[in-house]
Amino acid sequence: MSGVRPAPHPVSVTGGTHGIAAEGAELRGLAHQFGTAATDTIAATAALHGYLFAPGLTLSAVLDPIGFADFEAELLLALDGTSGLGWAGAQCAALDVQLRLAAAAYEAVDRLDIDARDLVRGGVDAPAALAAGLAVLLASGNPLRAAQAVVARDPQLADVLVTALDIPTLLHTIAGAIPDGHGAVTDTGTDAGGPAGRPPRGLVDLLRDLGRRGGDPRHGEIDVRILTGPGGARRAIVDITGTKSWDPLPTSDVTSLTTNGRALAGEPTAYEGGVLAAMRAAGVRRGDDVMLVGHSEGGMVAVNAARHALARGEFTVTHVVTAGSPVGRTAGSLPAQVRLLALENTQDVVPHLDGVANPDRVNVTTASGRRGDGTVVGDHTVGSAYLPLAADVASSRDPSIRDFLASAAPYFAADSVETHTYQIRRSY
Amino acid sequence: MVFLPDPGELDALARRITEHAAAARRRAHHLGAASFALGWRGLAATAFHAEEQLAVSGLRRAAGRLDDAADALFRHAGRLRVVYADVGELGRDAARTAADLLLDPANLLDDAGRLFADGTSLVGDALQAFGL
Repeated sequence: MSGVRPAPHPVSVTGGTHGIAAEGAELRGLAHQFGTAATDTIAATAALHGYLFAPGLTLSAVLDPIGFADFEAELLLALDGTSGLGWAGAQCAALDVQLRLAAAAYEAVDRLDIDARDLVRGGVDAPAALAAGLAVLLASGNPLRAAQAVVARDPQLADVLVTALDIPTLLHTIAGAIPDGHGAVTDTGTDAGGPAGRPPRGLVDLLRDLGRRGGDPRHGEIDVRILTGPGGARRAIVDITGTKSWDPLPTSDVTSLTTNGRALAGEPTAYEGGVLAAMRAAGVRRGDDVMLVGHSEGGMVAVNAARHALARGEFTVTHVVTAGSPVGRTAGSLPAQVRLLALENTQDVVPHLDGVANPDRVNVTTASGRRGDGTVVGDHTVGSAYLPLAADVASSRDPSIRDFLASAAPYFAADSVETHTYQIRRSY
Repeated sequence: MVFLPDPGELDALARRITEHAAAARRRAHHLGAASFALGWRGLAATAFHAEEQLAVSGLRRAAGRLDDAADALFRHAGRLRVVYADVGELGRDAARTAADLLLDPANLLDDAGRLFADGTSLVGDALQAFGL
């Protein structure tokens, strides 16, 4: 069966250029056109009413009363008759209002739906998931494996628990109490091996190199890839790896829980500061387009780095790709010129740790699919979950996905790449 | 003639009305195309499209009626020109008759015939203007 590719798994998509927000913008755009037409038409109707009493015209009635009356009747009919110009102007104004109300209503309903969906689904699947966990517990006697079985069976249950326990506030409070220090960058050389030595040709290549970097035994390892395209055009892709330390206390490991708690709430972190310092060290210029790619915690850091770097005007971040990252609380504040593609394995509990679904925005596309091996770790790692999901997404015909990938195409057309690697550590 | 309405002004007014008609037609075309391109489906969208078509066809119908009104004004200006031409001819012939009365009475019979023809034409055009 060599040469036969397995069929891609289905992918569901929210947001992006064909999401609800995009439709809302389209409805508002058309509303504006009807509003302008209404204003112009009503103004024209008023001006034409003035013609009925033009001085030269009223005098002419003496010499040709029938012709005068004929004209006056025709003009009055055109202006004030059934389906006349005045009526058409009013109708355009009504359609303007109607379209704006429709856009607002759709967006309000969509917000409600997004907020409720995970909670409802989490609740519905909870009994079966808890039964599965109980079965594992009875069979193995291992509570950790039992908990894994529950979460793998019902990741949306995480939303129920996260919301009920207000985990994001708890994490933020704890992380805020621990000093974050600042990011220190160590140049660990260049990498020309495997996917790091080849210019990426698509989404799968991005995830492949991110997985390679994440597999590095050093914690806080990232890379900055300088792409040179046709005509010498430069771009940069930055791969940001995820959590490798679960230490809740002050530590030099920048991937620790402190970063998670702060990044979840959108605050700057030492990790983010280190990433930006590494970009400077690698020679990324203000005029170079930059794509940030992050896994798990690295995705949260990527979104925040894009927000803060653009606010400072330091780098031109155009794209962010996240894999298994809880970015629901921060993605909505990305500037419009940054396009985010968030990959979420539906079996993976980590993207649910923010307790909210990703917002539906024109520049925020969330692609979800079912991959992984049914364990908490296997459902979250790049190799077993997000690399296959990236292949599914790359094959998707969804217009929001196609638009995102088309906009990112220049990153996939480089002639050469130089991959600089850095280790970010926390320094106090 | 300075106190009489100028048919040229009426023609200019009629042309401005046709410009308004053309603008309404352009608006209808633009809105129809933009609405057609809208990727909106569902019951609310169907209701919107029904009302949008009413508005667009209303604009087109109003544009047609404005053109009719402009045509009526062009015709009205044309009739005024005919009346003014009749009056002018009558005036010229009356002046010639007065001159012949003093200088060449032998032509008075012909003059009288012309004056009668002018008067008949004027009355006829005036009656037409009054719808008689």
